[in-house]
Amino acid sequence: MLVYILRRVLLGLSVLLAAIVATFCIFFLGPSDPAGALCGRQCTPDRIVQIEKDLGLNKPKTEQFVTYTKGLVAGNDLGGKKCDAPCLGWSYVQNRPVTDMVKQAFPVTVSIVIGGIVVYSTLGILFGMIAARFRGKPLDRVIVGVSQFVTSIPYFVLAQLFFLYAMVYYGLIPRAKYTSILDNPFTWFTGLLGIWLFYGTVLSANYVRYVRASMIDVQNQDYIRTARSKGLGERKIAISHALRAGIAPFLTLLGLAVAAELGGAIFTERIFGLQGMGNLALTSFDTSDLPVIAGVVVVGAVIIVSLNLLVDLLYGLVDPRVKLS
Amino acid sequence: MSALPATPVAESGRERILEVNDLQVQFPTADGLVNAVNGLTYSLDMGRTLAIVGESGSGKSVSSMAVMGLHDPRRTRISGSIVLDGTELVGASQETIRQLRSSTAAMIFQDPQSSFHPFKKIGDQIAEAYLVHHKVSKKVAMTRTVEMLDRVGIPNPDRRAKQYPHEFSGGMRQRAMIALGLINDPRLLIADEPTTALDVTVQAQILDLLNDLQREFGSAIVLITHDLAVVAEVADDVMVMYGGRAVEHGTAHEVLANPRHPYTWGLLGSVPKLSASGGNLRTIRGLPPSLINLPSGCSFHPRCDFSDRVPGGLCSKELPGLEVRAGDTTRRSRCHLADPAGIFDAEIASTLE
Repeated sequence: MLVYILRRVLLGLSVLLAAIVATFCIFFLGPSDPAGALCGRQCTPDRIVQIEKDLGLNKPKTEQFVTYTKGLVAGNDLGGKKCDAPCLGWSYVQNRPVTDMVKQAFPVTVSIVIGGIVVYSTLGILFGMIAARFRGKPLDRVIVGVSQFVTSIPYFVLAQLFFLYAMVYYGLIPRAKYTSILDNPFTWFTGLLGIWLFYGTVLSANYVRYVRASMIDVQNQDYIRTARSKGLGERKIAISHALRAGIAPFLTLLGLAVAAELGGAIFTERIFGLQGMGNLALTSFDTSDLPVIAGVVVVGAVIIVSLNLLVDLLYGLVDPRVKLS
Repeated sequence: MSALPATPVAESGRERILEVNDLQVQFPTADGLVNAVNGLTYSLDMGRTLAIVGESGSGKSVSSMAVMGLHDPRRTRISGSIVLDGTELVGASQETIRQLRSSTAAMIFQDPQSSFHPFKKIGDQIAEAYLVHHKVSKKVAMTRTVEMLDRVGIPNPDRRAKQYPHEFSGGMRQRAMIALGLINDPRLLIADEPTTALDVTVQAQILDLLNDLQREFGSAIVLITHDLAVVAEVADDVMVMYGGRAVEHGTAHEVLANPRHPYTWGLLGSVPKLSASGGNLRTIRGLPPSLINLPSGCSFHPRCDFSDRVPGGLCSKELPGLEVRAGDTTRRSRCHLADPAGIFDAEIASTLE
């Protein structure tokens, strides 16, 4: 078990290293002109040289890479500006450490995603089970139909409509507002509740049909027949036997989806005006703030790798047949 | 048909546990109505073992699942009568049937690999069945479970109870399945091909175990199988099924040593012989009948080598009744042949060495 985790961590680290190399190559070896971007309107060639020197851009690319990687692990000293580990670089545009910006944006995204997961797991499993239970009946058709309808509309369209009508025109739901849970848990909750319900409900449509199919498959398994032959009641069979087996594959799906969403719930943040990772990435795209973009990518890679590991470990708990070795 | 004597071996003094009368089980499907069981009548007394034999699709499993009420009522039509320990099951509420499951009638399934929940410990799965029918603590149920695992010959039952199904070998899993079947001392045990997934030595152990347990508990056993060697070893009575009907029903000795139905002859003839000489396996020609369009008359006539000996093409016109024929006292058979005993002695017996 310990050996397994250690091996997985090492494997994860090598994946991260590859991601860092790729990120560095894409963003810093390409045709970009960060010094020019930083320099602003009244730019002189001298100033550009000075900026390049400050940022270390005049050094060979290999040395820049070593500096970048070293910064991640041990921190850096960029032209007199102190950047503590893990140093993701220095924002050209905002002239502050990327790490600080990520630290500010990350809790916002985490808050949105975690609330969303709670809503869509609950709704997805609940409606998936109901649909499976009433397979072929009108209720099942309605649930599947609605979920199909919702998934066939692009998310950003739904989000726009929800924002415009529910929040702006009719004011049914207060506009989203982020406050740190540490500052005020109550306003944190109320400020994001509308987003959670919207985001969770829309995403649950993906999972309803998945859970339904999984539950129907489980219903036909021999061990469900055995459970019935023992004289167990239908409710007990559904919850203790069928659900237990039915949601195991859902867990894998969930882990991967969460990892992707934490990388940036771009539409949600953009449309509802929340300053999370997605918005951070988009803003820095607009301003060609390469270190920030690269920083978001690296952080995203870390999240995906660690959540994958977590899902594998959890799966071992759910399904005893999975040997972690 | 219901006027017929319900059992060929009416033993006095024994209590009747199961009485099936004119049972029909049908499944409506997209292709048509599947007639899985078509008027099955039999009964079983306490302490007896009835073997139901027949090829796949003959209705042996389907009829036994009906006794346990395990068919999805939304997708099955059942008519006739099943009286289990005095309770009519056809048309009974799910709750009535639920209370009888495992406590009065228990079923051992043929594939113990897939019949246990893969994520739950064996002991918990067995104890659960005890807890449904007894108001006791989990600890008491677990003690009972460990006892039962010990009784069916599982070594280290304490430790084994805490293991998962995938940690058991095939034979051990089948023993655990039997322990599950017996945990509530059921009066009727239905074993659906309990030994098909096992190798021969383990098979023999399992059969001995069933025999011992029957002696100990005095319960009745319905053994569903297509393995005639197994039948000879454990059964008191044998019922041969074809196309959802019983075609021959009598004591094991009557049916196996002096069979009267051409289908039974075919079954016995297709048992592989243990000899060094090789040669082809003998089979019954043709394919099992379509349960959506059963052949007219006797369902077996398209595959029967003897139907031309019945005058007037009667076999394809009229379904013979399941009756006690001339020369028999208890056995019932379903065939138009005037003298099946003569044909068997003259032509068949010599080929069944």
